[in-house]
Amino acid sequence: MASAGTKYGMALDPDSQAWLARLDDGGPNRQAALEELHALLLRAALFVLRRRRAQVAAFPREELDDLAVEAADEALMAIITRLDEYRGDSRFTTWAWKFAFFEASEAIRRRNWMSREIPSEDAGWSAFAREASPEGALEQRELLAALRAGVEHALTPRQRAVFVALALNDVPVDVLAERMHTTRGALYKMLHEARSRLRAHLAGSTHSSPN
Amino acid sequence: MESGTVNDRGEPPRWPEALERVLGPDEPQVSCEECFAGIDGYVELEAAGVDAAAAEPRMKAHLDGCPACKEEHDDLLAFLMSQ
Repeated sequence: MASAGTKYGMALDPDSQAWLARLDDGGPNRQAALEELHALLLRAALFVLRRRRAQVAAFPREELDDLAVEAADEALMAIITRLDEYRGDSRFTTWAWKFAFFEASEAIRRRNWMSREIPSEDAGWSAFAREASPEGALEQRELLAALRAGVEHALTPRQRAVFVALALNDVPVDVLAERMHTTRGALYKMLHEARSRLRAHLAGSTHSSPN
Repeated sequence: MESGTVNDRGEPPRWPEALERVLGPDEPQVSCEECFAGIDGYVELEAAGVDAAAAEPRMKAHLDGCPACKEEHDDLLAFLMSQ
């Protein structure tokens, strides 16, 4: 639970202290706090859905409502499980809301990619080439060729698959993590390593082969 | 040009925007898990008008390189600002 010494040197505010006290209470106070917290989380989830209207335009209305309630449910469960991780670096409600945003955003991304295949590497390169500006076209083509060579020769097969999906094809990291049976954090770490290798390759400063 | 090496003046290459995007930030950065752990404090700094990027450069670098974390950050910040 949060102590007096928070990361940014601020004392825990009275509202946050009250939330922690109510959630720590074994009686009806706790139940009332949980219901109130769920309502706050649902409001946050609905905010995400409204803000991402373009991404959820094709979702049936009932599905949107279900998605918001499920996100609030999942967020509440995560908060209860991880309450001891609250360090008081923000107000308690801000800390709690981030769980709702995480759950709602992941749900939207996964729903959007539910029936979509991960695009091929060729599709990724085509999309990337289309981003080239008309000015400096020659340099752009040379950089593109150098990058393709780097992806082919400087990355391990798994790094290559992750880089192509996440960086070239803009597949959401949580969607790819689900399909590759791994975690979002592990995939992003692999992407970071792949990007470092490619930067080094493009700068011509390394000739090492992938592990 | 071979592999985008340094130019004749010995300067590092200046990547076009598209290349910058796919290569992501070059700076040290936190992991997705660390980003989630610290994002509430980070957005409250931003909402208070503090230069959070200067205070937490490794968070800023991660947000520049991870679209999913950036999306959640943007939503949370917009929500806080609307309260």
